[in-house]
Amino acid sequence: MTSPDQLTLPEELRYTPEHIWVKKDGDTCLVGITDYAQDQLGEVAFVDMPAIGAHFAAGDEFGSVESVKSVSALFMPVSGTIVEANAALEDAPTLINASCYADGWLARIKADSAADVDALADAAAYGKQL
Amino acid sequence: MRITIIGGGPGGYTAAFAAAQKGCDVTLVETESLGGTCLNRGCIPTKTLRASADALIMGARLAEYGITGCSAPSVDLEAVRRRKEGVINILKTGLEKACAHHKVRLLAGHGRVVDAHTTVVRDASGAETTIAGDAVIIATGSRTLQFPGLTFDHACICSSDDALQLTRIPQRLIIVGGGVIGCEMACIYNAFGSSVTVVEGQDRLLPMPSVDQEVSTLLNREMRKRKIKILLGKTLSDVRVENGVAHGAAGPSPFSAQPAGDQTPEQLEADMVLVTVGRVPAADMGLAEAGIAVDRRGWITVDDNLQTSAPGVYAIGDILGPSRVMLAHVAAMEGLCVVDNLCGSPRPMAYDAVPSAIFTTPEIGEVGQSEAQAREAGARVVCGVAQMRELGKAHAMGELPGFFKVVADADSGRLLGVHIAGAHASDLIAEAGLAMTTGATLHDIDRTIHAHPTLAEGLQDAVRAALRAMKN
Repeated sequence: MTSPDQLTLPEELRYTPEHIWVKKDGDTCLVGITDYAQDQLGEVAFVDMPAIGAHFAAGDEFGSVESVKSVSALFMPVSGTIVEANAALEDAPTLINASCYADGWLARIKADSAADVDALADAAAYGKQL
Repeated sequence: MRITIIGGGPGGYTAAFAAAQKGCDVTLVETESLGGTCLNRGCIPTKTLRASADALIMGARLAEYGITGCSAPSVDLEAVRRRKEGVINILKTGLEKACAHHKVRLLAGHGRVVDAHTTVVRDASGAETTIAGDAVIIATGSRTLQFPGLTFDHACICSSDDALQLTRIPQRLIIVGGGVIGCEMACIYNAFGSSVTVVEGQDRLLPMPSVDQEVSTLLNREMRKRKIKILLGKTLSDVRVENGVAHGAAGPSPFSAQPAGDQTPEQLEADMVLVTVGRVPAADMGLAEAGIAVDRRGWITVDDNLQTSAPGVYAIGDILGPSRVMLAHVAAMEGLCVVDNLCGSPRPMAYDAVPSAIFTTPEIGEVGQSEAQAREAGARVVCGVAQMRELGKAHAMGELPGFFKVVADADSGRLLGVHIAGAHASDLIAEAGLAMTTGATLHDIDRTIHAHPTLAEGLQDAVRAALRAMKN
């Protein structure tokens, strides 16, 4: 188990208290789980992603990540619609452990409001929570 | 007291043996096979197929446990069928012996109630016998429901009765109806090699109010892990069979609360369509002439003592329909209540702690209210969840999926509902059933020592999570 000061927290991302990161990418956003979350989970065995086109409110459960230790719900960072899910995770769920901020991204969402994303915590605020 | 019981399923035979043990003169009328739907077309055959499916699944996992030397296992359908028939025969013979032992007069034929004192039985040759008695218990059960547009041809468009015959493993199987039977069949046929799609009209699998949402969510995920396709909020229409292949369209269902995404019907193709959307009453027995009231769907209506509108005529089990609980163990308990009533020591039938066991992969065991039901009823609710994979036994066994969830009254700590998913959930739920029947609280389960390492500890862990939540 890595100690909080050894975890990676990219400065340009936004974070939720439930360990989801959000990255603006044009008019959509990428989301994934943070280094803290993947470290706590251990080796990811299965990722449960929602259907394309599904809409969720902020805080809704939109999927789950499963490891030998636990099944953890994924909570929507902002209200929005699922535009794409990372298909690579079906055969290689451990991409989340190896590269949680890049190759291990979970989904692309279209946020209902861009302002919602800006209102999320930054790296410093999230880091304090850990 | 002379009692005539029509229907030799779990409701009928339980009532028959209990009445005989109390000294009653019992006649049991059965039109097809002792054991009814449960033994012949339901509980028992499904569970024997489930056991074969489990053996196949374990066979493919042997290397995980360090067992080598076994090449890829496969299904011998004839052998699986033979085992199923064998189990059914063992149990049926046991029932026949029990009838003889209890001196229950067993009559083969179709029974028709005239009144509390008269039942007419017509045998296979058409000959009629009149049975005189003091009371009648109708326990004729239910049958498979045929949906409009999905007429059973028993080859391509099939009922659960057909599915249990296991004539073949279709390469592509569509199951219409994601309730208990549909999901159990999906898991069995998927294990045997079918590519399965479940089409369910409501927005979740197992869409019954007493099933907790978290159970539906887990089952959905576990079935999809096994590559079972699940279409929620959809119904199958425009079904036609051409050259042994069924074609249909899965479109938005009128039962769906919120249709999500694309509304264009998806064209589906399959080698077999299994329709498991409910049951209908087996009540073709002149009920109206006897003054026995039924509801608009044909289910018999009874009062709190399970007496029909004809005095001295009682009804139990599936024939009472979905307003009661259509499970074998409920029919049996209703039978015991009626017999106690007839013999002078009335026992009310209670439905608030009826366990249900669902034999999907993983298993599900539930008793009492879902979290949603408990909140709707206005209770101040506290819940506690423990994951199966938090248990040492689950890891040792290699069976990680599942959880234990308790729903309790936050003020008294009394249990309102328990929901278990995972290996052996169908057996684990019995402890919760006892807790609910005796009005036990979270504290009672907390202070009961549970052996280690067992899966039963999971219930205690969930209880402790609820107790911690109560403190906050």
